[in-house]
Amino acid sequence: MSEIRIRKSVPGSVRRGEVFEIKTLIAHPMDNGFMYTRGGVRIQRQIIHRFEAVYNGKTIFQADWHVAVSTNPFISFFAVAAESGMIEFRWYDDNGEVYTDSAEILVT
Amino acid sequence: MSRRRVLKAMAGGVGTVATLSVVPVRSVSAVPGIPYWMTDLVVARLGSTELAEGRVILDLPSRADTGLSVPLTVSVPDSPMTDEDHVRSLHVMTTRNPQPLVTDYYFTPASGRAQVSQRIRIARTQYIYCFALMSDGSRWMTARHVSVSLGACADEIFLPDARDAARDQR
Repeated sequence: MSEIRIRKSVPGSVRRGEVFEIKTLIAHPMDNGFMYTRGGVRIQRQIIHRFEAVYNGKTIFQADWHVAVSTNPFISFFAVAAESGMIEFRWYDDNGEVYTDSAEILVT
Repeated sequence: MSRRRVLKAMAGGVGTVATLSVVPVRSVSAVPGIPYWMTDLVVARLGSTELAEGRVILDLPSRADTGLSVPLTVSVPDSPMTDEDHVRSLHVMTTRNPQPLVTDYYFTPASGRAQVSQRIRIARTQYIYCFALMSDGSRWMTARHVSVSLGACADEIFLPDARDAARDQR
């Protein structure tokens, strides 16, 4: 799944010490393993089971997702502006793939 | 009695009814205890089932047209999120989904605010629980009732198969 689409919203610049919101959305079916095709074949479970936000090499937020998370998982969370740098997002798929994206942040 | 007086009396009456009605509504939405089968899940995450009510805010609509995507916000607004005093984790669980676990969130002081929003699947009308573990080791919980309307396509594709599949696995 190389064509996975990710959307993110991170403020370009924030004041030091300020708490800012980060929103991300990833296109993923989040197959929960309970559904069947019209032919009666069970669709195997394949979800993103973990999400991480890494700010300048330090994990600041982590989420474990289970089958009750909706298709195309959206998440909004917060972070404190410490230093200018990169925020990296990682999504861990059941099939072993890790989707990553990052955003630059300027702390003034 | 003049028209003005009647209106005044009515307005007063409405006010009284409104204030009175707050009390029963609150008592109805009292947080129910966790089901026995949820104990293991809670102990695995919080270390114990000794939970105090409060501090955690679970914000989601009380009625949902379709359970496929219900907006959910969990937060602990009164936590300062400092090194000494912060929220370690928040856990969302359901009582009547095919699988009770929804999400586990792990925070650090660098999170700044213990607040997360997501969209979740809710199989049917039920209680949703949220548990919090603080850095001082205290444990908090809250629960909200959610009505999920029938007749949505969600029931066809998510619900019956979900139950059958869960039964097959046992």
